[in-house]
Amino acid sequence: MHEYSIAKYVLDSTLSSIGETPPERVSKVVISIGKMAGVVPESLDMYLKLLAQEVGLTRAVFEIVVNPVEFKCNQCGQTFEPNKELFWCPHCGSSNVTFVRGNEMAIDYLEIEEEGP
Amino acid sequence: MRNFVFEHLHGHGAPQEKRRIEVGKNILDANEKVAREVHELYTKRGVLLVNVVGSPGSGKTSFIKSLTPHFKVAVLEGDIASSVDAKQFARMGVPVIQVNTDIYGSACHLEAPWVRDKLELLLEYEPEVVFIENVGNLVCPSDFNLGEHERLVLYSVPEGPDKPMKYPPIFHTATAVAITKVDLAPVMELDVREFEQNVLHINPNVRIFNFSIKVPSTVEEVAHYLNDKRQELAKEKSK
Ligand SMILES: Nc1nc2c(ncn2[C@@H]2O[C@H](COP(=O)(O)OP(=O)(O)OP(=O)(O)O)[C@@H](O)[C@H]2O)c(=O)[nH]1
Ligand SMILES: [Mg+2]
Ligand SMILES: [Zn+2]
Repeated sequence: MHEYSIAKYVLDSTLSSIGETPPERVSKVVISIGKMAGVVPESLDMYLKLLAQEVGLTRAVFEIVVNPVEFKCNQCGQTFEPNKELFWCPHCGSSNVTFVRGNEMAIDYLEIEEEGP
Repeated sequence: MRNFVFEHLHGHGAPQEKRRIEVGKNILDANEKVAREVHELYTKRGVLLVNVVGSPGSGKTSFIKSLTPHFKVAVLEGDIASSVDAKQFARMGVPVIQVNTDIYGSACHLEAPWVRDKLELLLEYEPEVVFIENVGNLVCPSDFNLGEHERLVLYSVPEGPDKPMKYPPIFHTATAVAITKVDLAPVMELDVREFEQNVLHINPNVRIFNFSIKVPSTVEEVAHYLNDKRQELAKEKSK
């Protein structure tokens, strides 16, 4: 449910990144979300589409890239992607593992269409 | 970086130029910035700020109440609506401010910009520890830093042992996890060690407490831990 809030942060941040450019010129917003960020991409996408109209980002397409979760095994040194039930190392079975990445939430870049010269 | 795309748009036939703006920013930057300011203010004053999160009914209010004899406490109470919990603190003479998220679209979490001024105000009571009782939810509060020194996740025995796998982010961001209502474990024929194991799989270094409002020694253990954190803060302050 907090996807609504996150969508608002995305839109605010987009508007502040384009400065004086009219918001309707934004054609693309690329976002990356780690699988462990606790965000449902479909839900975020829905709110983005809904709220973008209200703030003038009328032509923006939102692209959400979902990044995998990565853990590192402290026993054998290999990295792995855990599944829902298994948070131990699939290579050696150790449960001495450390989270590496997968909870990030970032706006990567925007694309703006400009009038030709 | 510029790339030129030749397209016919709006019929005027001019080549359309596409400009790319690299943003590379955390989506919640605006929240983080306010959270950092709150964190610095509390650190400067030497007041420990504890964000208490957990499912509805996991025992957040009871937990905070049980710690009031150990510290000079103030509370920020977050709920979607009502001030039922806040009233309990007010009746005990504990300074409390209520935040209802129904004015923020009934949000299932608190955000730093909504609570900053209230957290500043609570400092006027000269508390030793300020507890934030977050909105009862195991998903949404995990992404929103409020500037806390400690993020305490309350995980109650009746919720069953598999919650950490189902809701990893909140357990991953916790500084400590209190398994609450442990007095119910024998009654429910549940093994608290299984809860602990599952928490450790998600967050191998987190501090885990077994907690029950009915077992004073478990309350004291948490009080000790928080007191140690206060001492660390005092050291940092005097640096
Ligand atoms: N047996 C037992 N019951 C407890 C314990 N802690 C809390 N409870 C009971 O659990 C219920 C919910 O406790 P609260 O402290 O109100 O929980 P909460 O997380 O603040 O609830 P919300 O604010 O509504 O989300 C109450 O009936 C408490 O009496 C405990 O350690 N053992
Ligand atoms: Mg409560
Ligand atoms: Zn391994």
